[in-house]
Amino acid sequence: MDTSAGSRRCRRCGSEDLVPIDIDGRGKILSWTVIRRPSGAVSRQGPFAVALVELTAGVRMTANLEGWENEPAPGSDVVAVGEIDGIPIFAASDPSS
Amino acid sequence: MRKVSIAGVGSTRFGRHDGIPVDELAAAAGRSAIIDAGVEPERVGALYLGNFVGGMLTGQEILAGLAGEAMGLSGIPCTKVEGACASGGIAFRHAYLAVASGMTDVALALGVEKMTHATNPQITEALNSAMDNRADAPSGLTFPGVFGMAWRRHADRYGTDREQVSAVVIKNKRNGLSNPLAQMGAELRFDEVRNAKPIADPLRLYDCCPTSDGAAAVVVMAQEAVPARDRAIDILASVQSSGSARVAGHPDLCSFDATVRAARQAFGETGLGPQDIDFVELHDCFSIAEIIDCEDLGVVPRGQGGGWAIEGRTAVGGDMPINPSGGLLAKGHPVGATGLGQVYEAVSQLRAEHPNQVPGARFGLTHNLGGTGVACTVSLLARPDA
Ligand SMILES: [Zn+2]
Repeated sequence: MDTSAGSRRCRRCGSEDLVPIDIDGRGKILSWTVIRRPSGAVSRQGPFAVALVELTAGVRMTANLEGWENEPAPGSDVVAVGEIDGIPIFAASDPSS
Repeated sequence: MRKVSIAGVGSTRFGRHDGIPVDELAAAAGRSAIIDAGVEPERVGALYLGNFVGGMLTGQEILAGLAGEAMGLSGIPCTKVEGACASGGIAFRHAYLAVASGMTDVALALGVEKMTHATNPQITEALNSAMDNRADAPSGLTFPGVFGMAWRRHADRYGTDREQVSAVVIKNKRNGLSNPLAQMGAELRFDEVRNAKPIADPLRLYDCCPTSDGAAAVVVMAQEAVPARDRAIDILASVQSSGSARVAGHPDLCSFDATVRAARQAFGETGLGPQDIDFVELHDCFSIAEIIDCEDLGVVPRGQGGGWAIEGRTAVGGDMPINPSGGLLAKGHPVGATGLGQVYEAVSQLRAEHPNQVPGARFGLTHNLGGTGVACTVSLLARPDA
């Protein structure tokens, strides 16, 4: 029996039927925090910000956030500007652009 | 299923326990619970032990068997359970099920943790193993960070402000002052809470429970076999549920659906409602967690947890006393022991022997939450004459 270990699956329903989609990296901040006392497992020193972002494409993700010093309001627009070790970094976007 | 009671409880003080091995700490609580129950140790037919970071912080696993041996409970099944900070509540429920099912007349639930010897980054790393290592941990998120995000969300939705959240800290620290088992009770002012050092915004030092060593134990027994009915406390329900292990998997960070589910089931099984509950011992790992938990349990209306705290309605003399023990914030949080520490406190209340006694308490609720709400237990306990 083929157990398909190692193949990529949906983390919600287990389906293997996955297709790539194009997203523009835009979304909204649902909430955010500044980590001042990091875990010993991460090499970064605090402070740095972590946000829960809801992409326009409908996906939610835990990500890093630049520009937290400006105290972004919940629901404000952000756009992906890069990544560290596969974790996206978001920053405030100008909604008119 | 048979009717089940708590025949005895035991607990060490929560705080620092230098120089005592983790299995000995567990055995100390277990022995005092067995003595309190007035049963011969040979009658204990099963042992369940809750522990979370023992392997990581002390290098010692197989704690259930080691603690059983230290108590002279030789040969019986000794099982360790792990559900992050809900490990103790899960051990309690397994002991309950072992007796309710008829497998044994007497079971011992134990919880233990030793943490204070480690450094803060080591402890944070160990606790972070209760987070999803693929989705959340790589961002550098910590548990204070998870609850910092929950705080902002709750504030955004319900207008919960820092004064309200600080009222939880002030109440629980004050309750802890008169609990001899508590690690750090204190009389605090709003400005002291507000100006403490920042941990994960908006959480500051006193918004976070301390790092603790400690153990607690409960002897669970078939109701018909209990020797002294006047000291026994009945278990009306003991429910376990699960929720998402990922922050993004929660429909709303203002609520943990595992708590909602467990409370609903516990009330449903017993025919009781939140209005019947005389006091609650809930999982205030952070100040904002108490506000979310009491709303999820249904003992305080949704969105009003902050208001109830600042109005004193959750104090010992209030409409719904929450954490008269001091909770995790003041009593301490030796993670694997916490769920059983809550049962210990509830039993003291229902025996009318608590240092912060809720007058006439007949029904108590305990709530233990693990990880990002991935595991939850809720128990309803009652005085036998209730
Ligand atoms: Zn799916």
